[in-house]
Parts: sequence; structure tokens; C-alpha cells
Amino acid sequence: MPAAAAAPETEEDAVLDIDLVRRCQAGDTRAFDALVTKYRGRVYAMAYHLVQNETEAWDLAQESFIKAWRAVSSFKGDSAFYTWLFRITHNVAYDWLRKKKIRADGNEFDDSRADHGVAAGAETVARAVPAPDTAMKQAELGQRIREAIAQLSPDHQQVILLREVEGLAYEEIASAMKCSVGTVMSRLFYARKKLQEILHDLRP
Amino acid sequence: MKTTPENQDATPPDWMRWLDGEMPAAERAAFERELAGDPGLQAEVEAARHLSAMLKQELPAEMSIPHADFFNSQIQVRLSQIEAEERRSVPVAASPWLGWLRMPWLIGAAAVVVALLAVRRDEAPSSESNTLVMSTYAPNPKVVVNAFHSEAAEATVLMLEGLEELPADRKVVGWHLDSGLTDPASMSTAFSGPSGEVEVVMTRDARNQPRLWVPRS
Repeated sequence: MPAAAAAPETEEDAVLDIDLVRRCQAGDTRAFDALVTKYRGRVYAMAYHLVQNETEAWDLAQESFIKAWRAVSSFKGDSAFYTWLFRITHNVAYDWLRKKKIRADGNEFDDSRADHGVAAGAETVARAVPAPDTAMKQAELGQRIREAIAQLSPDHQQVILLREVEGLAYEEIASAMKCSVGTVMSRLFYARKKLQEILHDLRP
Repeated sequence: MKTTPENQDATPPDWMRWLDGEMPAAERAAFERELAGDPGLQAEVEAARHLSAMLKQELPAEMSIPHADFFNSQIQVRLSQIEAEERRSVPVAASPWLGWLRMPWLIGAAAVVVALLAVRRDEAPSSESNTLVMSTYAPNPKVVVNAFHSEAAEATVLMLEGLEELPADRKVVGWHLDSGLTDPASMSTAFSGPSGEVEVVMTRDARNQPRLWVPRS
């Protein structure tokens, strides 16, 4: 039985957030401080997974909250506050990545030229390869996964992180990335295929 | 820069919606029957499930942010700056509180004579001018002080409206600004005459309100 898409917060959390946001909209900086405390760890994690640098992630997380404050009057409550905040963080990190043009091989993002390009319809069944070295350190595994994600385009990175790490539903991801559910599904499918190809030796 | 070549994507298979819990109940039973009878499909689903588990394990949704308290305090500082920037463009009416201090001979053309300016120089490194006029005060309620800042010109312009000419019996030719050694935020301004004599001193009281001191009548 597949796991249901995990909700990022309980209903009680959502009500609390709405109250804090309303106070922010009235200019209450202490209410905003409460929201910062609540979500700084998740915003920082998202930024870090994208840029893989503590200092940059810290700055991008700051920038995300500042942008959120500036735009808080436009938050209508038609989505969860955290989804809205994620959208801002995504845009901030996306802009940073686009300017930085980060790529493992030093090239611009262009999945059609990627060394690990995956043809449409390619099979993703595990091959008969030796099991991973059981002595592999956890840090090395994490590093490999982060490097693999870094080979994706910003949009594909974002959809993978929002789905696999944050557990957002397709609709929530579409809202955060301002695209259709169909686009979310296409990007997610492509990103998973590409990661499986890059990490083929880690398959079960 | 091409970043998301959507045309490379095949139509996402049904198992993806099933795996992510996005498949409606009406479809689920039929799909699970299909899955039970298809080893190839099972392998594909298991590979995706394994990848998902690895990603969740190695990429935590929440991380301990370094210097958390400083993170929050820096945001509060930035919020204060934003508020100050928004106030900068709003004309500030003179406070009538010290209207009794209205002294014709104090009214002059020099901005620093009739207005106290709270100025803060931002120490954060930036290519833009970081001097902000935090607030203004004019003893004479008829005097309106406006502060405008141009980032392009890196200049702050003060405009005073409602000034009168200095009386002939007082002549201010110079001024000197002192900051407190122990409290940099405290300041006093001494205005001197032609011979260097102090004509008037403007400082602050315990409530941080501007006060005037005239050494001689």
C-alpha cells in the first residue's frame, strides 16, 4: 500500500499560522518572529539541499523570510502558509542557482545535453550489479545523492525535494511552483528516472 | 538557458500516482490487481520506492540552522530597516509638543538649526548608501521637515518649509556636532557666533527629547 502524501502540518498548525499571518499583516514583527522560528529549519533545509553550501543557504533563507515579510499582505490564505513560503524560497534559490549556473560538470543546465540523459521510455528496472559496499559511510552516500540532485535542472531539483523530502501533494507542488499538476507529474517522473540512472549502483 | 525540457518526459505511468498516494480510490483496486500479476511492474515500483526511501533518509526536511538566534535577530534588524525606508518617503509633521520653545531668533535657513535629525549609518557592507534618516524633529511646529533619499545619487536631501529669516541680533556662523563617547546615539549640537562664542546648544533630555540651552540672553 503506497504511503499517502504527507501533510506538512496539522489543522491546528494551519489555524495558528493563519492567526500569526494576520498579525504580521497588521505589522506585528513579533508574530513574524514566531513564524521564522517555526519554519527556519525547513526553509534552511530546502535552500541547503539546492545550493549545498551552509553559508549560501543561510543567506538564502534570510532572503526568503525578508521577501515573505514584504509580500505578506498579498497572502490570501488560499494555500497553507508553508506552501506559500516554500514558493518564495523556491524562487529565491532558483534565481540564485540560475545566476550561479551551478553544475557538477561546470556546464549550464540543459538536461538534453546531460551526460546522464535518460531517453523517453527507458526502462528503469534494476540491473544485476553487485550490492553496494556495506562499508560505505553514510556521509558518502549522502554526498552522492546530493551530487546526483545537483545534476538536475532547478525545476527538477525542486519537484524532487518538494515531493520526496517535504511530502507535498501534487496540487501543493503545483501551487508552490506555479505550474500545472500535469507538469509536476512529468517533471517528477523525469527527475526520478534520471536519479535512478545516476545512482544505478545503489539500486536494491 | 533551457532548464526544463518537458518534451523529454514520457507520460508518467499510473504506478507513480499510486506510489505517491495520488490515485483515486476508484482506480486503486484495479491497479493493484494489475500490479499483483506483473513482476516487471513490481520491480519498477520497488526501484522508485527504494529511491524515495534513500532521498528521505539522506535529505532531511528540517535542519538545525547555524546561529539560530542570530538568524532571527538579523531578520528583525532588516524589518526595522524596511520600516525606516517606508517612513523616509512620508512627510513628517513637526511636533507641537515643544511649541513654547518657539524663539524667532532660532529660526534660520540652516537645516541643522531648526531640526534634529536622527541619522543611523548602517554598518552592513553594501554598495548602496546606508545612511538613513530615522526621524526628524523641529521645535517650531510651523516648520515641516521632509527627508528624501536617492539611492541612484547616493544622497539624502532635507527640505524645510515654513522657515523665517534669522533676526539681526543673532548670527550663527558655525555649528559643531558631538556624539557621546559612552553612548554614540546621544548627540549635542553647538551653534557658534562670529567670534566662536556659543549661541545655543541643542541636546536631548532623559526622555530623548530635544532640549535647547542658551548660554547668554
